[in-house]
Amino acid sequence: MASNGTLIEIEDLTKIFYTDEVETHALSGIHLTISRGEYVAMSGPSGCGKSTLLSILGLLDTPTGGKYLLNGNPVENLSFGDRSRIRNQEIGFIFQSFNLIGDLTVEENVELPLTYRAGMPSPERKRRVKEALERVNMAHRMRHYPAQLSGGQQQRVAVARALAGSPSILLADEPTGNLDSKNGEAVMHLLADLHREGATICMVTHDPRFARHAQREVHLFDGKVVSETELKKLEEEVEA
Amino acid sequence: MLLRELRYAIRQLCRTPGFAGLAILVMALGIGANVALFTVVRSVLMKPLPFKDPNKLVELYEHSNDGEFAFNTVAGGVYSEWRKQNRSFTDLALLGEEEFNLAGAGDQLPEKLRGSDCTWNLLSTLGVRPALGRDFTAADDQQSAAATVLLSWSLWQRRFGGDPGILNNSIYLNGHSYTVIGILPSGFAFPDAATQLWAPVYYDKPVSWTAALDNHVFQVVGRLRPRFSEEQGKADLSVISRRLHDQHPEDAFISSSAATRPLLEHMVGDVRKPLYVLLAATFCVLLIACLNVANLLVARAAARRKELAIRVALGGGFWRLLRERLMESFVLAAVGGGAGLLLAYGTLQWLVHLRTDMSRVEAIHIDGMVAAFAVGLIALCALFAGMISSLSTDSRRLLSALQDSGRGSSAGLSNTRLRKSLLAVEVGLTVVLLVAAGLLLKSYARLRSSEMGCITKNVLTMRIGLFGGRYNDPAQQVNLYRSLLEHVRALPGVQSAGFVQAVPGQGYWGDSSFAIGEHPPLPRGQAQFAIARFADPGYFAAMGIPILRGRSFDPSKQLERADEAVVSKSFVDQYLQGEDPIGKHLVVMGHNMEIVGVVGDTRYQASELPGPMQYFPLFSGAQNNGTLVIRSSGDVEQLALPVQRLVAELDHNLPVSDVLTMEQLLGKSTLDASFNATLLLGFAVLSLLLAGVGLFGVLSYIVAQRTSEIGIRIALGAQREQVLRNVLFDGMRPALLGLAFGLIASSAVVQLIRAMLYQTQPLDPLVFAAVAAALLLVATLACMIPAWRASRLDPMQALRAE
Repeated sequence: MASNGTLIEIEDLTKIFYTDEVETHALSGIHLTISRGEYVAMSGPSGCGKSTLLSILGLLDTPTGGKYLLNGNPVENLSFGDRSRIRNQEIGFIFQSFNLIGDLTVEENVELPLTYRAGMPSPERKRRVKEALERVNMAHRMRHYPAQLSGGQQQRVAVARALAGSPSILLADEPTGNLDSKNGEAVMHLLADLHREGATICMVTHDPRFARHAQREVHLFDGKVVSETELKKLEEEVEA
Repeated sequence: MLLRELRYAIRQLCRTPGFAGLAILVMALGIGANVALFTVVRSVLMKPLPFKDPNKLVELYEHSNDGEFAFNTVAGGVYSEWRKQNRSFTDLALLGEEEFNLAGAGDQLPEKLRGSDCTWNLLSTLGVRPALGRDFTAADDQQSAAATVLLSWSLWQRRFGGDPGILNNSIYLNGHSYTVIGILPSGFAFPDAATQLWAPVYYDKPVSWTAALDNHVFQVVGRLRPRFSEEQGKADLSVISRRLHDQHPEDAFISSSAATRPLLEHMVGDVRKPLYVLLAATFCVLLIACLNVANLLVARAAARRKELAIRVALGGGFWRLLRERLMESFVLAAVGGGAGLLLAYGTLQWLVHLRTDMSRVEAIHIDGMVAAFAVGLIALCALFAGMISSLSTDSRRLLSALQDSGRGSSAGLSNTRLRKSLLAVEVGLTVVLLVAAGLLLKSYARLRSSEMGCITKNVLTMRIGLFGGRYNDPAQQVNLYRSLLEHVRALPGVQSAGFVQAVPGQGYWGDSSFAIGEHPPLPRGQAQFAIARFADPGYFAAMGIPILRGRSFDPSKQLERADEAVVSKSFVDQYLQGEDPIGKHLVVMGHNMEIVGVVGDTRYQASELPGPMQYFPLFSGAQNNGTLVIRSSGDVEQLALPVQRLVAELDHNLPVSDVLTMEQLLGKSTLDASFNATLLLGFAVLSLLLAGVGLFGVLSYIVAQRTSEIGIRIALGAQREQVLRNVLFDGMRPALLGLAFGLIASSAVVQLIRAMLYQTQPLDPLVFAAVAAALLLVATLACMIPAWRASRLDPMQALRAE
């Protein structure tokens, strides 16, 4: 995957949550472009909207307003089925809490997204699963269940699952949030390796140490993209 | 401490009224059905008869020589010889069924009553004494005695207002004056609850009946001597029968052996199997109910995992937690059991009123033993449901609930597996009940659709008996029959009318032996017989019974001149095959009857195949009771009152009874089958409902447990229909497993009800297929809602739930 063109382009994206009589503006006019092969970190304080943005990027959620082009195609108003198909083929998710399925083996967990693709023969799925697990050094744990693995190992399996479908982009939501520093570093190195091999990655983190692994850092505050200088100033104002 | 736990359990249940209400309702249904059926089984089958030393009482029968009637009724002459010659019984008593017309008095209408002609020693043999007045003496039981009668408690209360002044006063039965000498105790029901009065048989019946050796019309009950067994008694009587048989080698109807059964078995033998089947069915319902409640409690335990974990963390030991959990199930079972007892009481009241015809129905009461059974059942249900749910939560694993759920997204796997297993068992039991109910229902449908051989629509029937008084004269009888039929046929709306001893579906009533005049005499000791009916010439047309050859009786021939006979097709097939029956002669009890017609076959009972039947002219004056049939083109029930008025005009002392349309009459004759099928179907539907609710509950629980997993699947690109399919299959798996288990179990269990089926194979593929289809449909419907909800999950919310 080379850095040849725009993969994601969003313009004036808004997301408003309505709860009872309260209107919460989670995202307010976000403009963002992610190119192929780019490694972007989104950071900001808790509640700034970074996970909401990631969910919209991952087509798990729909924006209230604005435009979202993925691979040059508008995706903000797609049906549930089309969004599922694009998620399955174009997007790989890595969650903070790994989100592996407890009663599936490591192999079955990694194979899961491939089973949702119509027409992919079983040998092809097995090959991809093996490759993905080898890439994260977990092939030897294929027959294990998630509960039999450490947190770091579970997250590596989650990465393998995200990779197995050869997606256009990997979306990682606080991938080190549930890991100790050693395992956290290991996962970050794995993502860096993947990026070097050409993967496009968009990662949400609130930890500046991990954000530095990315090529570019996007700061969010109160649902808006702000510069690093602006962010520091705003944070100081909040603290004061 | 227990009080505190009880308070806590009640508080917990009050906080979740929906759960508590559902669990209590399920328990109430299960326990109520069981208590009701147990009460019936105990009262009817287990309670000793209300007689002195009831285990020494034996019903005695003749065993017919051709083996066709293994437990045949007894001839009066045989009874006399048994009584005189036996050494095994302290006494034997004889009784026969009789109909009595009780004359009206004042503003009371005449009434037809079921009674019994019995030997004077009946009560002493049973060990019963009248509640008021005196018992019969030997002096009362002879032709020369004054007429005496004993009344049942209920007749005395209903008809005579419980007035003791009726004692030693006269009432008019069949046109004769009888002195009431005693009132039997309340609850005395022998030979059955419908019997309202008892008269001495040797006074009431002609010697030709009571002395005959081959006229099998009586019931005999005997009391064994101390240290004599039933087998010894039977052997003793058989020796006497053999001697009688050998003394009369020319009479094929004198049996050569006797048969016996305990009196209780004789009285309740017919209902024993159906009652045990129904009891087993209610036990299945209870088991299903308990499994359902256990399932609810397992789900509740899963929902309270965190709370339980805190208790464990705070030092709550296994036993302490178990006790707390059991207390909750005890409260549920106790309240459910209480409601179940009320339900059982109501059900029993309904049953007693609905099935007055059932043997020993008067004995059905909730007593101390039933109460103890109910308490035991409540304790058992509480333990069963409570233990299953308690054992589903391992206190060591519980502690992990306090930690963050980081190890995969399928929490409560063991719980889910347990619930699915319980559900599979529940579905399996439901299938067994459904198959049994389906078979009984099909059998009942076959029974009801049996071709009776006559018209059953728009036909009204009513019983009329011309007993005693002026009707002792056959000419008077014939006059009344003629006059009655003439007037009824003239009523507006009446298409045709006839009179017969008993219509199709009304029972066997009686047979008679015959010889065919044109045939050589049968070898000594051989005989032929066929069901006998007296009918008027218009009967066949009124009932739509086809005349296949010849004609009906000549209406102008009556009394001694009425020497014609009509036979059925089966009769010709069996006794006159290849011959022209018309013009042949039947020799019956010395009378020579010319066969003038052949009619279509009819069934005396819906469940019996048609057999040979011979019809004799009603106008011969030899039959003093029977059924009037009226056919109309319109609503025949409208004719009931005008016809009864007509009868009253002809003779105001002539009671009419059993006014029923043919359809009602056939419904009554198949009441047992209908009752068993309906009740079992009710239990099966209840079980199906419980299983459906169980499936719905389990799958909803599974979906709730799997919310985050489903969210992950959707996040990974699963389409809605893929999620729906996945969840649906998850729910259907225990249903399919239960279905397979249930079908296999059913194929064995249905053999137990084989005897209750009519023209239906126990392994009827249609019933099995229908049950499988019904269960799959209900299971799919029950699973569809949670599966559809799962497929509509918002992935964002689902993942947030994690």
